[in-house]
Amino acid sequence: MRGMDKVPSRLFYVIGLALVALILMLAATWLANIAPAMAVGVTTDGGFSITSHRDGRVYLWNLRERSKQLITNEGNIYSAYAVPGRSAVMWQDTARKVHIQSIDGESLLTFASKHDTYGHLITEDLKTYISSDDGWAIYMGYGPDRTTLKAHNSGNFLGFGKLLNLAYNEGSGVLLSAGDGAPSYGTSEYFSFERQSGLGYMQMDGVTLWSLETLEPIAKLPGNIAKTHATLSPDGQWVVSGDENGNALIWPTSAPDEDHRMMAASYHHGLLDLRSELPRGHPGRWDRSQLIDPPDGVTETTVSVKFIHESRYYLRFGYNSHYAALFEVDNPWPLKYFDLGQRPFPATDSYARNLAIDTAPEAGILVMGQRDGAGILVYQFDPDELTLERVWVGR
Amino acid sequence: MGDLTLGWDRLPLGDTAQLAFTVRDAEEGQRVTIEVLGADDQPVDQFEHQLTKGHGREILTWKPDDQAQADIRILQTAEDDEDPAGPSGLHFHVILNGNHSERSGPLLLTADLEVEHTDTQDKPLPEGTQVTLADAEGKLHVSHADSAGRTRFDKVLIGAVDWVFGSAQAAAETVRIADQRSDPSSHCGCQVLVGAPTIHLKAKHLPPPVMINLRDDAPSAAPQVLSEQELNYFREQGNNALLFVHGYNVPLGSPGQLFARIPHDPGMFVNAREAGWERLSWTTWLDWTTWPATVQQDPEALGQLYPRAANRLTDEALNGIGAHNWRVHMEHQLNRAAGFEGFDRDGGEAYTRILGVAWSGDVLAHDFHRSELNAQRAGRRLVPLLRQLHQAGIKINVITHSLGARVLLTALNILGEHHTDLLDHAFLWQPAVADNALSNSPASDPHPFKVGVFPYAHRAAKQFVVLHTVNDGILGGRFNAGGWARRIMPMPARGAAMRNYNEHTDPLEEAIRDSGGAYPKKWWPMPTAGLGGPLTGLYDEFSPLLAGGVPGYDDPSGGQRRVHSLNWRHLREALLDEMRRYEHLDLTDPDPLPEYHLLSPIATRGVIRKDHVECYLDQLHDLIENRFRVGSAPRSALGHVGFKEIRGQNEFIRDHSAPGGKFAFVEQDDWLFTHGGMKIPSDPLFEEVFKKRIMQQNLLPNSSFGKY
Repeated sequence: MRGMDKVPSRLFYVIGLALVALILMLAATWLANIAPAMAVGVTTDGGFSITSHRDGRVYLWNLRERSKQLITNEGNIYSAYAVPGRSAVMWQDTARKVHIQSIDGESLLTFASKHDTYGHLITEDLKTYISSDDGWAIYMGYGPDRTTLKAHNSGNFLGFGKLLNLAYNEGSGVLLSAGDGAPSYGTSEYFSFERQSGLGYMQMDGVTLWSLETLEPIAKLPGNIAKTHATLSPDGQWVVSGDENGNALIWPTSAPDEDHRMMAASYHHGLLDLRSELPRGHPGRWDRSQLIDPPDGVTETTVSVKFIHESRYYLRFGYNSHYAALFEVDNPWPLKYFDLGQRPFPATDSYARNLAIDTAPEAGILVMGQRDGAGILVYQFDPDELTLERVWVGR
Repeated sequence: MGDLTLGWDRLPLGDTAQLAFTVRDAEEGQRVTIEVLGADDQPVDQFEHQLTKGHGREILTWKPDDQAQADIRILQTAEDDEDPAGPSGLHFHVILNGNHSERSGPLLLTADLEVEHTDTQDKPLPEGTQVTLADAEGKLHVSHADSAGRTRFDKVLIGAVDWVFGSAQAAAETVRIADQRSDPSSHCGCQVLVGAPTIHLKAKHLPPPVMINLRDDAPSAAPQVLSEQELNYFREQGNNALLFVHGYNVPLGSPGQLFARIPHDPGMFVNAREAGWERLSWTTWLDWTTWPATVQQDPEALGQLYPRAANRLTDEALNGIGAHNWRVHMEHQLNRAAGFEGFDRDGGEAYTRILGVAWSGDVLAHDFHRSELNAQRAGRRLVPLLRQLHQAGIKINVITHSLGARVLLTALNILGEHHTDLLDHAFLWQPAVADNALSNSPASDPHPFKVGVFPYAHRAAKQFVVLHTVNDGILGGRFNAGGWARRIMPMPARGAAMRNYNEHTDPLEEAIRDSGGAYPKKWWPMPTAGLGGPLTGLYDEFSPLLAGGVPGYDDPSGGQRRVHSLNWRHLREALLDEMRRYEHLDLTDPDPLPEYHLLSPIATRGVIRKDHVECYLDQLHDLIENRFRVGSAPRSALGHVGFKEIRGQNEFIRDHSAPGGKFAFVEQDDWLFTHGGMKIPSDPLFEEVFKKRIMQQNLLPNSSFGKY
């Protein structure tokens, strides 16, 4: 105590002020940093990532150098997209101009779009551009040559609470769309091609395959219920879908019909035999033989499905869950559950943000937005050990 | 050069009008144009006249052209209702040298008017229904419909007329007059202009609304099934019926009033001498205030059009209160969602009535369990109605809100014992029942009487759609703050500013939510509430059930409480007696359904048997001994968590949420912030649940609503 008399009281004031200043600065940084990513893209080689945030900022991240760079403050929040097969990214600004640029910043292509994009994609050669809007329309191209595959249905984005998810495989020329599954998508005349054709296919909101050549739907892939996300394997051979009722379905694109459809096992109950004659709810309909124990906090309610290794392994992300389930494409059983970490919590908290999860399957890289913060979470998949490790938290 | 003044004197009634006006400083032989105008100031006739003198009074006669078709024009409430409107009859003015004179007083021409009233399904107004017509002079004419729905009114002043039906049960708002569509919220009569001595007019009205009152306090004569007329209505309107069962804490209430007829300024009239026409406000002539509005009116839109009346244009005044308010809003939103674009665009024929169901859910806000008992009673009363529709071959879809789910599930549990797929869809919106309520097994039912699960309910409908949200403050507390970022999804693509949806929350519900929600506390012992309150009330004649002290209340002394053995024996006997009264009933589909009183806490099955009563007695005894405290908490509400918790535990529910199953669970966290938020939905909510989820993804592909 006696030693304290020697410390000038002025010092306390200085320390106090410094603390206050520090707190204010932290608060300011924190406040400025709270716009989470709404869409995330990662380049094919796993080297770069683009994110578009809720406050309009678009960032380009160098995953190897662990740095980031602001591209714009005026971005469309859902527009971040990594161009496949190149070191290039795409985004749209609030004036509806679409920008494709190399990671060096060199502009490769810009064009004006007629609508704000609610999800878009482009091919490696930059020749084919597909985009959706808030009415879950599907457009090919832009400008006067823009053609419509699926007509705008006013209110879909707001009504269903998510974007229409799109995936494209250049090799097969097949476009995949997934929005929301109606229980009778496959059976009701309401959703028949004939009836929908007269409506511009505007109610074909379930998992659907389209031909970019004929601009017509090829097949409906029914079975998912309510909010649905679907993805194509890199080789274009498989469609994998997941919905908010916990169903995940796998189809070969060569035979997209119910006979060839597979259903993933339930995490808690095992594999359900949909063709069983036993009445629904009978335990005999479930095969538990290869079930692994799911940790607490795992949920089948699916917000996104993404391939993580070539066309072999894919991940299923649960709604509001920090776990992802690993599957092999022709195997219905979950192989492993990966804990993505809770601090920061990954962006699985909203179906409208299901674009904030992207992978580079050739490199085994997974990039996710954060639930609360504005940064990204980067993970590396090891196909031999079957591990998924968080390698970086980008802030 | 000339000057005109018009005569103000009333002319005798007849079918020829005398037009009188005074001229000054004109010339004999000078040509003038006479224009006869209607109540809306549009010309009805125009002709030339040569003045007989340059100075003095001119008198001509005019007779409406017999050959002309009756010209009927619908009147809408004037936008600027403060403007002392001109006469509502025919009048004229004179044009001299391009100058218009002032408008004359009314031409008191009369005609006989015959109106043929049919509803939007072309059914005639029931014979004998009284129709009261007010004419431009304010004179009332009464007629009774004949078997073709025709009414006749003699010597009606040509001009604006309006009518009201004598019985709200016979007909609702007029939506079509001649071939013109009329929007009920702004319709205020029509104008009869010219025509033959007898003017024939066809008018269409909406059929009356359908509300089934299953309340405990419903008058004994109140029907609990549909009338033959109502059944026919649904048969012909697409052979389907869409029911809506409201939630907890909703009184019966009363309907609202039509805006066009709410007195804007009662008793206003303009002095004839000064402005040329003596007129009383419509509303003082007919007792419009008792006329219920049966279709929704938009208080905001009307308030903008008529700002001076805006403070009176509340949702309550226009759309009613309680169950009536819910019915009007739901009917409107469902028609909109199915594609209805308004009475002025689609006409009344497309508009389809829903079936509103009222039940006694309105107890004190914290007295949840009592409301649940009421819901069970109402569910039993719903059974005959569902059976009636099913037997008539009418497709049935039901939407429930909150505790209305318990009403429906009780009914479906009873029907499901012997029927499958009675309903096409059951939409359970924020259902206030246990998350395992749809399970087929009462195992893991923490309810002390095992009525948390409705094991047969799933059989009675083809598809169940459960709409849930963690943001429902009544059904449960917030799970985790999870960053306030989550509350403002989804955002429009350009939306950089943080939109604040807090305007949709109700501060009381916020407070309830922050304290964990009301539903999870439904078994908490509380004076007159919890489980003890309703049960001790029910078994009042056997009280006290606990020896010593006041039953149902906590005993601060913590002394030995024992079930009062004598009273308990009497209660036991009474319960078994009640059971015996009905146990002989046919197990398969008892009709009528027994109405249990003392056994009502377990009356979620058709017929209660001895073993059910024995189980109940054990459970009740334990409960009483425990001073009405339940050892466990209720399961989370289905409307709060959906099947998040049950999915991993229950194979049956998981099976039915797989492709081809009966259950679809839809989370709507981002949209629904208050428990009652869906009644007057915000745009996003409307789009989601009604248009997309209910209509597009489920109801229209697999069933139907109206003729949409």
